[in-house]
Amino acid sequence: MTSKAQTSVEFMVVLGIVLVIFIIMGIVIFQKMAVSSGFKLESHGKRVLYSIAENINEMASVGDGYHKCVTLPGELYGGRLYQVLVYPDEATVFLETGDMIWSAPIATMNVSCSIAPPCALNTTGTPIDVWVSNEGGLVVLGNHGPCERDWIGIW
Amino acid sequence: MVTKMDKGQLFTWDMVFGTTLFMVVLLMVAYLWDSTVSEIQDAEIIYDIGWHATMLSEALVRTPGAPDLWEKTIVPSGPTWDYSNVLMFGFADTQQLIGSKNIQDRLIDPDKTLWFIRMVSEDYELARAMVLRTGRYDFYVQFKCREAGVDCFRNLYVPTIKNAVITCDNGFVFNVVNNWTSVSFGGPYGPWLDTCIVGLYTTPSGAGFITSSTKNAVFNEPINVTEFSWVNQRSFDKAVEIKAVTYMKPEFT
Repeated sequence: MTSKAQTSVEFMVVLGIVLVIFIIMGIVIFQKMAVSSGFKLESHGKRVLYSIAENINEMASVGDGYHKCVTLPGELYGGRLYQVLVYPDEATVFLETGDMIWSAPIATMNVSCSIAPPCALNTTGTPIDVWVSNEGGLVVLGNHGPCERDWIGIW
Repeated sequence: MVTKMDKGQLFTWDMVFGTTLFMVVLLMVAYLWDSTVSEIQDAEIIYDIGWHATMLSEALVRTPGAPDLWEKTIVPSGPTWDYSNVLMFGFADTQQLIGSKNIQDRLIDPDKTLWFIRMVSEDYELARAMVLRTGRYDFYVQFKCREAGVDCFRNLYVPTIKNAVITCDNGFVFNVVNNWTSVSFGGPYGPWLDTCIVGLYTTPSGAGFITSSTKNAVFNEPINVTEFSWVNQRSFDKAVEIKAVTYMKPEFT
């Protein structure tokens, strides 16, 4: 006598339920991870941006002749390269990565760049040393070689 | 011949119980994840507001704005004023101390201050765009004397405003007569008779945290002392109050 299989229908139902649960779980986890990653990226990007703005403000307030070197991270969270932008006659500094851009107000419009205009600092994955100086009231950003050993990076 | 089919063993109460338990745990984890992320985001917003409030209030009291004499670039435009030549607000007086190359920060110019108050009261959105340079937040600025009973707004010389009545958003009124300020009391908000508030004001009871700056400028002249306060908020339940101590400069003709 041949016994009829006992699991055919039930097995399919249970397997279906398990699959649905896993699919829902996967979607939920994917969404959470996406939100979390975006949030981490934004948080990191803003902190780098605010550090740059604070250094510009500091140089603007201390007066002529001061300079300091700051080290920016080579990439943001998730290995994303970024660009720091300063435009003339605009008291705002921008940080751009992919299709995301953040801005921070700064305390002076007298910002210039020894880098070719538009003043853009592009990262290539390795930390970048930026010299911030006050030259006759003008805050200048530039690449003048690596920071000295006793300089402390901002990140 | 009928073959009897035994009852299946997969679809049991054990499985139902196990699946239900798994779903409950999954939902709890999702809820905890959500609430944790939400709390971190709230903290990040507070940090962001605090950064803007600190940075911008310091910038206002430490820089003269752009151009340096921006108050002189404001011209009449019909019944109101044209502020389009003002690029950036700052209250610091442009007068430099003898032997110094720097602007005397925290010594605020009453002329600039009154123009700022007038502009914010007339066109808050424009002022918001110029001050914050971001669409994310609102702000209000509060001017008050640090010492009770001291009328620090009276008898200040404002060279660019000859005769005017400048009303703060809380009803506090400045009268300027022949380039000199006098102060009118009696606004609708009783407790703040000695306080001028401009901008989007809400109760500070929702403040996330309060911090204050204790860096004071040293200036060896008998001057009135004013407290400059700033609250910058995105919504009523998130606010940060920053206090930057300043001095109001008495100016003489």
